Amino acid sequence: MIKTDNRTIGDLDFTVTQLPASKGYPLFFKLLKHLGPVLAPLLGQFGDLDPKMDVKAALKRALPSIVMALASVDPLVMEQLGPELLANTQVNLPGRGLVQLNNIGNRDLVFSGRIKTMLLAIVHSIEVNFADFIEGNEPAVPQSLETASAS
Amino acid sequence: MPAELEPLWPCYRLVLERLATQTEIDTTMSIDDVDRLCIALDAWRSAKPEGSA
Repeated sequence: MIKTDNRTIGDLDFTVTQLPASKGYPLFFKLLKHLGPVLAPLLGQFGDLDPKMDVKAALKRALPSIVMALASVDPLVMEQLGPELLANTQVNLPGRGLVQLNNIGNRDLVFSGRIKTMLLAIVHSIEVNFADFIEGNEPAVPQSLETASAS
Repeated sequence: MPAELEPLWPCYRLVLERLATQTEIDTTMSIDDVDRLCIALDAWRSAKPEGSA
């Protein structure tokens, strides 16, 4: 189920709608690819993108550091990732109503002079899109399956 | 599988298993939904008695 989440950042109300899986997975791996090297010194455990790496556990630990990491990511990378992360974000802009941040004109309109707000909006999007995924919200395995598995 | 398609493997897996449609994955299912279904599928697979259909 696609979920939405509202958050007030500064004096603006943001609404993030979660990306569908076909867009979320590629973005998640892109995020990991670009933030991984930045987070490596913080975590001391990110290496190359080994397919067997426990990415959820790694990113769960990394989440609090992402704000700091975003601020130090190559601006060119942020130019690519930022719009993708904000594509499903709306902001209620006084005097203009709901503004969708899926184009550069609207992003400039909202974030001009508000760089910190933009970073926090990106973090909000990361949380909405990937926090549960990162935390490994695993469903309980039915007792009958556990029993069958153990035997 | 081409490297650019690897991130989408969990989605393709559900489509191939007929547990989801491509349309659902493109519109109504989040990565949490796909992840949970894959975990459930793995649990079911590991619990299924050998020889059962």
